[in-house]
Amino acid sequence: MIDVSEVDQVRFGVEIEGGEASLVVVPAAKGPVMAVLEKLSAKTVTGPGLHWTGWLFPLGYREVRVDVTFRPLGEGPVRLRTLWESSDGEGGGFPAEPVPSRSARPNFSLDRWDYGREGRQLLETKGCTNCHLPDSREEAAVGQRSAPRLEKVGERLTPQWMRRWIMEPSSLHAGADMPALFGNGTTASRDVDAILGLLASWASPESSEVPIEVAELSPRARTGRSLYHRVGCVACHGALGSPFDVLGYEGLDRTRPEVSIPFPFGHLEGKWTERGLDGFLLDPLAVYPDGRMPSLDLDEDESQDIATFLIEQFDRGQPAAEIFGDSAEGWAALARGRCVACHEIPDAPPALPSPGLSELSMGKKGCLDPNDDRTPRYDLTDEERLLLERGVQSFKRVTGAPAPLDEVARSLATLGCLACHAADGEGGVPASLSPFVTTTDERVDLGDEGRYPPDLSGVGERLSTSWLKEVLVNGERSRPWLATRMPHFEGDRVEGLAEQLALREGLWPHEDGPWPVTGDDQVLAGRALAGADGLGCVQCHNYKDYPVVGSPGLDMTQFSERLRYDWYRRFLLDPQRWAPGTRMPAFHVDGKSTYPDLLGGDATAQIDALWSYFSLEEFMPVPGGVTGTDDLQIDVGQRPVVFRTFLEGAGSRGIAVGFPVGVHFSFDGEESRLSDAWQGDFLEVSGAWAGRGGQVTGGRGPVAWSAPSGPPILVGEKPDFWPESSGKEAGYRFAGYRLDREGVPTFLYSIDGMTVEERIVPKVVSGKTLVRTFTVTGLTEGEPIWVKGDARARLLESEAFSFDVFDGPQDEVFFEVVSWADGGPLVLVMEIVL
Amino acid sequence: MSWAQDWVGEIPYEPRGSRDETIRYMKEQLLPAAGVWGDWWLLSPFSYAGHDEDDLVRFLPPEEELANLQAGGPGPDLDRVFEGKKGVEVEWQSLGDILNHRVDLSVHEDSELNDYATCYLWGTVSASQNTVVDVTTGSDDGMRFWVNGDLLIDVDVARGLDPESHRLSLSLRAGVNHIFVKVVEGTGGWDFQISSQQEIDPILDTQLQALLERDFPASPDRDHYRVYTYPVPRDIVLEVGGLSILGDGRPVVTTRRGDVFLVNGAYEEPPVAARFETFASGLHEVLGAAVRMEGDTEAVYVTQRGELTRLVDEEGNGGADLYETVCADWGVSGNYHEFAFGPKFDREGNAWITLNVGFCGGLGKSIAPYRGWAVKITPSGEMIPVCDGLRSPNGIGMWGDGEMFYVDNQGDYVATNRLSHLAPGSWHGHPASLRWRDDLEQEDDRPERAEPTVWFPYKKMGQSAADIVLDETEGEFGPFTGQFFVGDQTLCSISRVDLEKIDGHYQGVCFPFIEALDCGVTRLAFAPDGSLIVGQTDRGWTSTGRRRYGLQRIVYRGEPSFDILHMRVQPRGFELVFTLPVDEETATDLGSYSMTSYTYEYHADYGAPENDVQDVSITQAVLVDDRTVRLTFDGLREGYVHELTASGVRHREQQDRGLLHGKAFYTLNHLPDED
Repeated sequence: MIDVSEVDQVRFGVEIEGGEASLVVVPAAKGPVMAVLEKLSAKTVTGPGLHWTGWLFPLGYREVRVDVTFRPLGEGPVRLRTLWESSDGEGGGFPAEPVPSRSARPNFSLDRWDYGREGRQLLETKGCTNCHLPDSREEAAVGQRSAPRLEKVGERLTPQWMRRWIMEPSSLHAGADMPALFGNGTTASRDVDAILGLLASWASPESSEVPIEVAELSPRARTGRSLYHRVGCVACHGALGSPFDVLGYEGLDRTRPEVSIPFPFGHLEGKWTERGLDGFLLDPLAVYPDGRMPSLDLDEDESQDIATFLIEQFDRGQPAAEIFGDSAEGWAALARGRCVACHEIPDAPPALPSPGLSELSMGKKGCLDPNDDRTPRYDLTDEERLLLERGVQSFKRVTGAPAPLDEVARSLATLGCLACHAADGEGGVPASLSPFVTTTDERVDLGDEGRYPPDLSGVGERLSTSWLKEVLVNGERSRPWLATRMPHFEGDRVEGLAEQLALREGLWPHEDGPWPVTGDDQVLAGRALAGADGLGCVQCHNYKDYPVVGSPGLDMTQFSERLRYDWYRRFLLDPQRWAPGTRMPAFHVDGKSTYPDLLGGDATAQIDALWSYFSLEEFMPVPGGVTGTDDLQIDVGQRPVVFRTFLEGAGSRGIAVGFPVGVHFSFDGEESRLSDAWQGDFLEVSGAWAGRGGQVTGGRGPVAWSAPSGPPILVGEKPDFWPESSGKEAGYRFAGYRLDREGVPTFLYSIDGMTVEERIVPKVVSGKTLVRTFTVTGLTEGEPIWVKGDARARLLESEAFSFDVFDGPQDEVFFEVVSWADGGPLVLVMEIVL
Repeated sequence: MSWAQDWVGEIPYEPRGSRDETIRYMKEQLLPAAGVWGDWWLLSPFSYAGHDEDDLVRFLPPEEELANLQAGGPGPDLDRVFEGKKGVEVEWQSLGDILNHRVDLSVHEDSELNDYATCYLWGTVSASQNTVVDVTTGSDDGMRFWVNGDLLIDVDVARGLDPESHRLSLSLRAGVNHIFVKVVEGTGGWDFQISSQQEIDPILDTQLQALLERDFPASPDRDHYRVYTYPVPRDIVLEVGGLSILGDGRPVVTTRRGDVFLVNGAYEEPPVAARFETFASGLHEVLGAAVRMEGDTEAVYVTQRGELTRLVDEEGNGGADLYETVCADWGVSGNYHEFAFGPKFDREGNAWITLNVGFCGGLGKSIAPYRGWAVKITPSGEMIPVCDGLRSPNGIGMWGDGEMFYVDNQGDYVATNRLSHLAPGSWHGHPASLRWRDDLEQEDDRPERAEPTVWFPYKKMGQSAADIVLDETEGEFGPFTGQFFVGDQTLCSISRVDLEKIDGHYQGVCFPFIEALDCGVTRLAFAPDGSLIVGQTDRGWTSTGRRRYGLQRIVYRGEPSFDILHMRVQPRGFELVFTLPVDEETATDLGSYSMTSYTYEYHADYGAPENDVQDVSITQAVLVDDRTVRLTFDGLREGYVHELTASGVRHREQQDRGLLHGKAFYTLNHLPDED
């Protein structure tokens, strides 16, 4: 059904190769058939190319059905694509575009077009085809799924957990893909112990691994918890903490539909050894090549962090038991359990043959009978049993190779793509997990596009097949700011998916175009349009790894490599139509560009000129507004320089002060304290001045000295401990600074009625020194003040006061100062050797 | 000086067929290349193995000349003969003047000598003193580029000619300077270009822009307003964040880079003598300024990301020496989007500041206290949180009744830009700020959402609302006294807003006012003479303007535009007051008007389309006086924008004169009762 309620006139077309097609447009509502439709009825077209109906005026109809009948002619490859186009007769409407593949419903003679599809998938998932071997091409298309490798399993999993798992998998994981194979008797128990003994003999388990009693998560586990919820684990396995606990803020998105967790954890308590889990997370496919768990390209720290978290989260102090049986009997037990049918075990004798897939009869028998101890016992729902039966039956009805539509659906399901990606209105991260979908770069201002993995609807029509291959097989990524990691798949599991995605959309995988004619004029016009003075593409699109002009976005030098031209063109004409809610603005309204100064303001010509420019890829000349360097160095000239910014060490109210002698310091305006001093380059401020700014300013020369923690000055009796903070809460108030004639700031702050003016200047005579002059007023007579320094600090003697020196922890030094004077300002001078 | 004279600097100004042609022509006149460029010479061809062979760096005999090419030194030996590709004899050949022109290097009859080949070019530029000359250059394909023997460009790529592939600032010594270039070619075109053109001097540009505005007005509104461009010196990046006016009339301009400038000589027409004087510097992204007289002291209050700061020139030397922290009680987590806007002072002397939520991931976050709030700072420096639910509140303004309003920007929970009343305790719809409320019992509780005072329908009335200024000029800026002007940072335009308060509900109408300014409008301030100063920057976002930052001034020419002055709600329709007398026949013709109404969904998604659009039928149009018409409509809806098109109305005397802006957008929160 196609919604035509918003178009004035519309026509449909078929693009065919290798066959003939007819197309009939049927109004959905009952009523008189539109005259124009009669003419089209049963019109059959042959020959390659695009064939259109006449214009239709669907007045009063909300929906129409388009029946396309296609018949291949000859043996060659065939292709069919259905398009539509709309016009309001005044230049409105939309240009020819494909009818989305999701609206296609193949009309086979089966009761449902996808009859048996889910069942066929289940035959592979449950490993049925490992014993019941396929006989025909159709059956072989189901594929076979091996179970995890067992060589080192004794190092990965605890024996007590494995014991329960082998005896009764469903007791640890409802609906486990692993069947129970050994019954319940004492023989079974002895068999399982023998197998555990054999598995242990292949590995060198850390039998002494101490179970962990966890009151609260360790710092490493907290890092792991954050990673678990950010990199994508959460999408498949669900949340293990509230957004506030994990991220420090609440998510607020309640607009997405709730869907169930695709791969919930089973019983993890006491399952893994920490080392084993770490290794598995680092490279899941090495252990379980046919597993659903892909590699998230974690580095060694990350896998260790997540492993630590999961162990602390789930290991509730399980006792480490050693329950190894006689490994010599293990081989016989393996054979009895037919383990080798699914697990690849070197040197093991092959499993006894089972009936072939085509020999299976229907009914709750054999493996489908939950009470039959002689066959593997699966934990299946009644629905799954029905699906499996249908799957087996469907081989009698389905012939030929699976259609791309089917193949893609199968891949999306078995690879778990839909846990993160939405596609055709299905899948995607559920609403409750939405807060965990984050970006790694706060400058990214793309809304949900900046944090959600992209929607895969029609992706084969949007992206070039070669790029899809790069992404799926070679690990190319175009959105580095997504915290969710696109998994890394083994080549053979995604082999062909890129092509299938194109074929599903009725496109030949490696054909695109025709591309627009490109020449120097087009390239230069495209470059001007992309620049800051043109349409401003550079504001939201990266140019290679040059500094970002506005906010980070997809790299423009990858466009022509990534995108199919036809889709690119349609997307630019109306971004909202193709990506509702996208931040990508429409630069063209009714065929007229918002930038009229080039190519007559003609939208199509500008879009093509941009493509010409983009098609130079890495050789694209730099667009206007992009600068080759982000070097915005502030040099100190004849006078000191004060610069306030987000500054490492001095916080979000940092004040950097640079001096002509090349010694500089920073003052924390939040804590009213000198924080550190450095030499050489003063500051590189592109973090504050480039793009949207607001980044931490860096580029300093080497830090020569950092102040001891806490406030520099206290008033009153000797404190029991030196406070950590000198912010507002601690009673300090920062009051700004005053510049003297030389441009040197004197900082003003107060605490407990005491007012401090602190002037800090470097002195370069013999060696480098920072001279801090505190002018203190508002003191109560006789009350001492305390100044904190370190081993490099020296308080200059004065006739105005006496002082004692106390050594603190590390190299901290405390000066107790008692003024001789009565009330008047007390001037302290401290020198710090850098 | 009259507002425009027919010369620019010492160069006569000549209008050409269009604005663009005139600009091109005047650029040629005003931009003589710096330095004296000599003739160029070519030495070609030598062999080249291709881009994959890393062959550009291979030393060939002509490069021995580089040792001689020192500043002030002799050039290469032009008589020397080399053995080139395929054994041909290669000699230097004169190319003449090539500056600013493409040079086709495929000069050989034997096409094999034009592919997989290397050539050398040599030219000179002489300067009377040590100086810096900006050049752009490009080649097809790769090249190495030396100045006085120093290698400045080294790229071995296959590419087409882009004359601006490289932008260089050449440090020239007094006397002759040598430029030596090696260009290689794989296959296809073989080209080189070097250009030296500079931006027009800012003061000359100020003059030129005034002349262009005279002869090629950028928009029909220029019949009523003149727009001047200030000459911003090249060493100042004037990304305007704040704007206010000193008691002596000098504009105070603060920048995102943290400088505060005073503009001397701001009111000449055009302002060719305007000079920027540094008052303060080193501040943290100053997005607002307000001047206050405090006894004898004139203080400039500025809002940095982390604090409200009071700047005072205590020493009287023209620059601030006291940088006093008045209030730093709001939180700054370090997120890049935690902007702070304001201050705007109310009648009690409180400084109002609005605090942007942080941006990371899809939705705005309030990571630190009072993000997403409007706060006011009392004269003693105490911060009072006033109301919340703000998203990106880039502008505050006080209406004639002393109440404070703000503009928010489209995004999550904000359907489109809008102007809203900062009523104490009100909540404007963005939930991030609710963290800092203590009057909510449940985490999910939401206060009642405040109704926006005026919606700005997206694109039709701007895309990024910025700053609000009240017209108190008593006619010096046109007939709009008592109305707001609101800038737009994307469309480089300014809108006009007329408010009314109906049974306790603020609501009103917005109209287009002026467009085609130089850059995205961020700040507005009325000068003492009733002209409007406009501060601009689009860094990090984008605008439709010709420049990336700047300062302009809008001066009323004394003749009002023919526009809708007021659109006021009545129980069954609206009363329109026009700026000029209307023609009775067209003003009372129902066909002269049309209206649609629509509203917006409230949701977390970025922005929202116009929703539930309906035509509103007009049933009556009655002339009240020669400038006032009462329109009656069927089906006015509260909570909806009513978009009026009045394209048929004509001027009373000039029958072919329609409204300059025939559109009005009235946000109807409350329909008054009939009585």
